[in-house]
Amino acid sequence: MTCPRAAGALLLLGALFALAACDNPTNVGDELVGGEDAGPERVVLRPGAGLDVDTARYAPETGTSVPGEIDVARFLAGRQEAGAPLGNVEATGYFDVGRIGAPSELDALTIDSVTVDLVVSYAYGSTSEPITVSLHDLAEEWEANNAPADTTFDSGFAERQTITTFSAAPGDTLSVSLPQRWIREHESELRTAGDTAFGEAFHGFQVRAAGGSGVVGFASSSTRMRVIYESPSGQEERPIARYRLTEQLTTVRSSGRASSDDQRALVQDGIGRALSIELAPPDSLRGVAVNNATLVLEADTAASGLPETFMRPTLEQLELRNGPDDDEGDDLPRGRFLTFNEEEARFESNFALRNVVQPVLNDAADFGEIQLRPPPRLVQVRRQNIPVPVPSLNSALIRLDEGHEPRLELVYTPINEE
Amino acid sequence: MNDVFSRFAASCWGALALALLLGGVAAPAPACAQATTGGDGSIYSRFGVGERRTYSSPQAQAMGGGGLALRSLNYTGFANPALWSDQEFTRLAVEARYRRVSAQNETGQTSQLSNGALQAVQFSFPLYAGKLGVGVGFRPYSRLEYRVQDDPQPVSPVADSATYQVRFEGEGGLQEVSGGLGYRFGETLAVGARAGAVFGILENQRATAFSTPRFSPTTISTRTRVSGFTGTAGALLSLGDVFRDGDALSAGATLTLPATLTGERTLTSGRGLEPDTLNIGSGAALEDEGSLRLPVEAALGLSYKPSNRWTVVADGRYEAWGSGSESTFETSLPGFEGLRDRFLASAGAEFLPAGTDRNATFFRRTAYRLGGYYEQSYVGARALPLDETTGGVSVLGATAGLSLPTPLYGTRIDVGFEAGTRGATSGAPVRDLFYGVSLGVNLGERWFQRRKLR
Repeated sequence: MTCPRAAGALLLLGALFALAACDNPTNVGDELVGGEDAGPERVVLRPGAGLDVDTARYAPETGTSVPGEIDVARFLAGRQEAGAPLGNVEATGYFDVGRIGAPSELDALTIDSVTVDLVVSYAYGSTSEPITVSLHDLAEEWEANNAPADTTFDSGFAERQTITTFSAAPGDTLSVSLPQRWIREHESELRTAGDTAFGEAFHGFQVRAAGGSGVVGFASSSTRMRVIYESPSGQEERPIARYRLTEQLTTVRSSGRASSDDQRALVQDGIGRALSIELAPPDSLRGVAVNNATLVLEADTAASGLPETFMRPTLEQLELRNGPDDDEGDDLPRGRFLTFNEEEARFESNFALRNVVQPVLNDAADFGEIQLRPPPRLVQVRRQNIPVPVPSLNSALIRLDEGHEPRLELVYTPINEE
Repeated sequence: MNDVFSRFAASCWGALALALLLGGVAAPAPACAQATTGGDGSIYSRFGVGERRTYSSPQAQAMGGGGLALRSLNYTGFANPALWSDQEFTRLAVEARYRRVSAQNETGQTSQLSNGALQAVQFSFPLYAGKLGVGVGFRPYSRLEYRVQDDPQPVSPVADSATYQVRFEGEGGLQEVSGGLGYRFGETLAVGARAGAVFGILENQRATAFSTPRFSPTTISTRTRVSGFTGTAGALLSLGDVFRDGDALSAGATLTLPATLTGERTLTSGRGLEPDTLNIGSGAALEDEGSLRLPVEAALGLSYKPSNRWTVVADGRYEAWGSGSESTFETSLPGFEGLRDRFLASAGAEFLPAGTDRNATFFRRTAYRLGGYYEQSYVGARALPLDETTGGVSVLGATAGLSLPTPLYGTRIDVGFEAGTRGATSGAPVRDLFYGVSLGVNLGERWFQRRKLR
């Protein structure tokens, strides 16, 4: 009896394993499932055809008083009248200092001189000649933290009277001596004992354009003030009180028409010029499954019309940000950038832009106006990458001419029912 | 003691068969690196509610698949509820099958696919032995199981080297859970009735994958979830000594009422196992509520036993899909609007060398079965997305089987084989060659019956 049973079992096993071969699916039957037309499709949304494009203004943050942030920040000063396509710009810097070291018994010492040390770490505009800037007293206490570039102050906040003027050119390390008149006027403040008392008594300086063409930036970390005292009797070494920058701000005013033609749009830091886009997809794209989305902004790198010596630092990235605060659109995820591709001379999204586009096509989100802005610099402060306002006038000229206009390239899968 | 040993041996046989059955279904291709999600079968299962299935018993399956008048003490036939009146044993039957499909197109290209599935679970018992019986069973009504994988294509022939590949899959199907009674009036006539719930999910997917992670893969899925009720009435006429002494002729017929399955169709898009329900322009979810109407079915069968060693059967089935089916979903199932009537004709024979001799050898007590069938499937030319010169889909199949005896009287292990072709009658874009094996365990015991002293 055992033998027939075993034979039966073996027969069964053999039948099973004879059938147990690997699957090898192919396109056989493709015409029965509509496979010829089932692949992803490609569409390009252009201005006026699924993508609204415009210029926008915003107020970039340029002020900070946060320790750590201030070490990488800078303030700008100067005036550049460039005309089209960049327009005219005037930057004014503000900074305050705090005492970090002083000799004892300040009352007993006689001030010999006061110098302000500055390092030019940034330049924009004409660089053939140094520019002239002037130093002014600030009359009141002011708040720099998170202050935007369009901050305005009451008349009289900065003294009209010039403390001194000096020339600045890219790469300069300057030591600006303040005049005896200024020392006499501020002797009581400089002799104020105690760092806090000094901070309350002294409000800082304004640095503004006084001549020439161009804008320079001064490194906040290198900005110092030194008060040098006469040597007390019996001593050779002269006592020095040292002050370092505690807060800084740059205000920027622009005038004149930037990008005078309709062929280019100016995106510029400092001034707060941005490009705005808004998705207006046709109904035929509603609900499609987005496989890939690429936002392309071609840049005019030649910037014709500018002299060879014109220094125009360019933007390497643009950040996607929500539009105006009163826009009721959904919040965009932060930290989404377009990166400049030098070879192709264009900004391209190098993140999953489809994750932004898909909810819009699904009617699950409405981001409203999306601005493409110069991003703040990310700096590691206390082991965290935080955006730090480092003022600049870096710019990009985005092409608007036909065939090179901003566009959103979509690869999508239609949602025809299966 | 001998009885205990017999039961033990039978249970060992059952355990072995069950292990093989489950192993065969769960891991049909253990050496294959690419696993499939569900079953993979014929591309023609895409149309309508899937590949239509009818199942009665392992015995009937190996004899062509009909069995409306196939009376047996060893099997409970689910093709006709009137057959349940014949029961002497309480019976539990489980069967699974494994099928391999080799599909070939006009250019000679082939696609090799395989699938395994539970065929049926049935439980039945007599209330009055040989007079009134009850049957409850689970069996597939239809199966959706296809897979087509396109060749890689460039996303953009000009600017991009990335390629995409589209895969079409169908899975799921309708199941039927039914139960009822069969009653015998004397020696000649038996009637039966069965009520059943038909339910299931039919899912078609289109998955697009890319050669680079720059592109997000997507899966568009249309899922139809429906359920409803149906009922079947059956009759069985049995005559003895018709052509010769000791022979038996039976005729059976069933009528299944139309069923309306209500439910919803949902279109989803996304990645992974939890795709999001899509929203359409108005903001409403892309869900569609509606119903499917399954048509009336009628079947007729004959069986003839010239002796206790031979049984032959012949059956016919008609389902009015052409005029009796209807969909109220906004977007219908693929091909549903173009379905035609389904006809199925089958015939088969069983040879049991030992007859009623319980002391014969193993091979003589083994039953040998052979059968064949022809099906005009309900996938007509209009159901296919092709030009009208293409004919509808038909199936020609051959079946065979062995019924292995066990030491326990009333319990058998069944092995079935099937092979056939499926395709359009003319201009066929795809022709399937399929072959498979099934394994069933059929346990019979005298449960719930008071023993009588004679």
